[in-house]
Amino acid sequence: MTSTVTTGRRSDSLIGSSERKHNGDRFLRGEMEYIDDLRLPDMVYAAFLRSPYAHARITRLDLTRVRESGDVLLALSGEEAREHTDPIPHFIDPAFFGGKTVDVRCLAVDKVVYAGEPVAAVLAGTRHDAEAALELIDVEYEPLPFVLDADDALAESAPRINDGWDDNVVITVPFVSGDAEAALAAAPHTLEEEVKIQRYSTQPIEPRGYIGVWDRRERSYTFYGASQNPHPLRWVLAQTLRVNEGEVRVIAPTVGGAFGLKMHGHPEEPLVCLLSRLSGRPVKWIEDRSETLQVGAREQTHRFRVGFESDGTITGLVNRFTANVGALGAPPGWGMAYLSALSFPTGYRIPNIDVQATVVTTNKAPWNAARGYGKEATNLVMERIMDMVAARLDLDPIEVRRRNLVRAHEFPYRTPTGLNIDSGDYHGAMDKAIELIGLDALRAEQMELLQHGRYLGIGFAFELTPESGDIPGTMVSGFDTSTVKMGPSGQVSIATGVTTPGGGNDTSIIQIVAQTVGVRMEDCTIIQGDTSRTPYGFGNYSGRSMVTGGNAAYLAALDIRAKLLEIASRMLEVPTDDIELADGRAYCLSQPEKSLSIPEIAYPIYSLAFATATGIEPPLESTRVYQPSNLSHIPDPETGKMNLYPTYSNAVHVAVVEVDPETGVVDLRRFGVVHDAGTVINPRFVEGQMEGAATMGIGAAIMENSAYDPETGRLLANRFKSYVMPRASDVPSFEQRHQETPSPSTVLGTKGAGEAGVGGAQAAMVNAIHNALAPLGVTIRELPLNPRNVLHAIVLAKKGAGQ
Amino acid sequence: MISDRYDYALPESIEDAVTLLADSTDRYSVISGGTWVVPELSQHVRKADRVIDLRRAGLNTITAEDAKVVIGATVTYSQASADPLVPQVLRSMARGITGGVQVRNQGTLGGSACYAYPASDVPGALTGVGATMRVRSAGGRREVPIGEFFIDAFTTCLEPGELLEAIVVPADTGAGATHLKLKNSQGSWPIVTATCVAGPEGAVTSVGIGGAGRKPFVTTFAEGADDNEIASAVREQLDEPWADVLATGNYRRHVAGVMAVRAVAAARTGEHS
Repeated sequence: MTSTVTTGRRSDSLIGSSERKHNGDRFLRGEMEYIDDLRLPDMVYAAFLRSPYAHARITRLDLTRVRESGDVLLALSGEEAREHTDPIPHFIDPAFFGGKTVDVRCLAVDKVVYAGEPVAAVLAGTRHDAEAALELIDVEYEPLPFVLDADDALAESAPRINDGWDDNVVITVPFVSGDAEAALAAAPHTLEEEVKIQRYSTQPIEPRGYIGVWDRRERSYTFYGASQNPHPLRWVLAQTLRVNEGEVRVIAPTVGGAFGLKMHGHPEEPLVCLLSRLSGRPVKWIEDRSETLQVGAREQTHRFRVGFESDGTITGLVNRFTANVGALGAPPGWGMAYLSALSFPTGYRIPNIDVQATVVTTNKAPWNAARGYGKEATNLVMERIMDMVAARLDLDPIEVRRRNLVRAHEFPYRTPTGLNIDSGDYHGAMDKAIELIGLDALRAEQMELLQHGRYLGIGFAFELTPESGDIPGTMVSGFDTSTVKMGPSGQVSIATGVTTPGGGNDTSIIQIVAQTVGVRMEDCTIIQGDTSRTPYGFGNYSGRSMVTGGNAAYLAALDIRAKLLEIASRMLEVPTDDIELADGRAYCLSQPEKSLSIPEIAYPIYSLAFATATGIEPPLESTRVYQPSNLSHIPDPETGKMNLYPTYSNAVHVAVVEVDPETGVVDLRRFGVVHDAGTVINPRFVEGQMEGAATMGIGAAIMENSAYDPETGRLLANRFKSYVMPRASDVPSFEQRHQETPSPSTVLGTKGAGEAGVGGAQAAMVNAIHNALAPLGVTIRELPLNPRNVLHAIVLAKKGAGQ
Repeated sequence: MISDRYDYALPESIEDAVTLLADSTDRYSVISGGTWVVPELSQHVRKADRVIDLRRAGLNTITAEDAKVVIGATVTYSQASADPLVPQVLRSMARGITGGVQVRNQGTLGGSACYAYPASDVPGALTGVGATMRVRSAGGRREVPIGEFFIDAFTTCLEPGELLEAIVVPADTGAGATHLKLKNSQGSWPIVTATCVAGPEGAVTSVGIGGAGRKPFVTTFAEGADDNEIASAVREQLDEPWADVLATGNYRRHVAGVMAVRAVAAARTGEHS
């Protein structure tokens, strides 16, 4: 059943309505329970001793003194942990893709490969005692040479991070289509440039936190955690802890932001379970901010060459890039680099591309996934290229984009890497963005201000975000499952495999179901994040929750709807196609005075199963899986390429900045965005997601930087005073417009929302700053464009100009 | 989380506080608001056997004394920003402290001065207005000109057994008195501060610079000095610029000159901020 039906009365449709968060009042009253709010009886606290060295052999680890301490219940070494556990399965194992892999252990054994790697654990009755006891662990290291930079790590003489590896390359990922070198050779114009993207991370205000509970009588674990993916995590814990999947239950309480950080593979996840089993007590661990800041993402250096015609049409692109993924961990971090490569050349028609990612391991801490998942880097690079081509040809950067963007009539559009873009109107979105920002007036203001020595900049960026992906051979899956049940009361309970990291997908799913079965939203409840109470699903990532869980809930609700229409037809004695379900009632369309309440038609399904409801299969329950149509991992017979994403949201971002040429400080004056997420279920939530993602992109462009100390190999930016993120007062009010080109790949026409925004905003900012400084001829290759880097570039440009 | 065990003392008077200090070992920490010291304790980068909390020692008053204002060592930013006795330039500085209302209600001018962190507002601002630091020990009281108070980054002239009792500042710093700061974002510590007050008859001949060096300093110049002369004088005086993860030394040296020029211009025109 994949046909779309029109449900409810369009005039007050819940789908497309900016409903408020259905349980928002509970958040406001502080009634939601986050992981750190959970206090179980007899609970004890774990603390982890972490390596101060970026690379070292552990020559001695003696737990005698810490075990003698009266406060300590238990201490555990890496050797001991290894006796009880298997390596943590990789979320995405590079070996599956032809790369090298490592066994990731919960505690280091013999050797550490990054500063911050856990080497021992202690348990005590309070967090205070557990942390204090770490000082009683006697550990000696033999420091080894370490390497922090990807280019340095590729040198023949570089220290090898992993024993037995002949170099530090995890994997090389090529995507080739056409003949890029020939296209460059034939092109009348070429350019060669570099963009260095700094290491930065995602920092949900709630850090990670876990509670492991071993039930001796049931011989099973219950794991409570701020987790994005409870069902796959259950599999990982069972594998690591050597138990059956049926002996593990994962429960995710309310989550205070995730952004990829709370995807699994972190060593502390199995450790709290093991520590509970060994101690017989529930074990809690809540991450410290200095630990959250260790988890990295996105450090990539792109070196590219572009061939183009005199009118700005790009004919060929060669891009070689390194991704510094730090030490290889089990979370899905390194896969971001794979996706960066796959996403070239975004929504532009460039026939000849030659992209190669070199994924490099170093002695920085491991990556985890981070919102944008590598696609943000691709958007940044492509948008820099568009502005660079325009500058080279002295053309309007908007015009260069128009000439290269895929046309609205060309969808579905197969990209050179094999992606199959579902729908869009990129030129239309560009027009809306120009109108939204009032481009002509802004450019006039820019000219005017320049006369007074002031540098206003306007930066555009087109952004393509492949969303709701499925990576074959991994637990990054493109389907999900929802159950809808209506009881004899006519009330609805929904259970779904997608989870909520703090946004509004739960409310949006209720909107879909409520409208489809004709009840009010307050008659619905939703369950997420519990492996015992929800059908199998993959949680939240890749902007997938509405595409998969939302559409699955829609299919299940349609099953209920069909039964309700049938019983209503019998009771009202009118045909089913003359009945509408809305607002808690079944109405006869042609005789509006004839109607029944939803409870009046639900109850007979249960109570008159052998009378009025004969032949209507009870109960009113349905579990449905949604698999988007536009996904296939059977390689295309001609090209050998696969389409890993069903939907492709897109956006046009505009940033307006003023740069202080004396200090390099960037003042963000306005930020506009036109976003196409297909059919919008709830505009409020889609806009909120875009505001958050764009703010992350703004931070990435001008502030955030996980700086390391080259002398010690330790993270310097280890608190919010040294890792600077945007606050509300750093960003203007976002000016947003929606553009809806429904996706033909999904039943409801939804595309992903949530990931889009990071790369587009980052690119618009970087382009705006360059646009502001264009009169000085400034090129800044290294992000972030913080005041120091901007001023440095201005000074260099002035020197070059002999000023 | 603070993992050390230490004695916590809450003296009820300045006399009790200095007596306690005299009896303490080397590893003591004095706090007023605790916004610097407590995070360091919880991050395990500071060790203490004894923490002496001054919040009940009766040092939270602001009083007029001749042509001076005496700001007690535990006066919070919020308190200072709301008291008309405090010169407008310091009130505005206190209002602009990064960290939100929680930090401004908790943090104190005296605590920040004693912590002597280069990338903070108070050291440069007190230097710019020409404060005098009233220092107390069991042995008595001494007054230290601000130029002698800061020895180095994180180091003041306070000897073991001494604590800051009050900050004495001029009551009138002139209509144009200005405290400017440059920072990377709203949440960032200051990179550089420039504080300028007008002398008698409105003459502007000095600027106090914070954040740029290991300790704050005052640059003086002729009354008619032009922008280049002021900026150069500031940069030349900065032999060892402060550097951290947010900004390099070279950057700080450069923008110290820029911010000095802007503060002087504001002070000269009387458009204080």
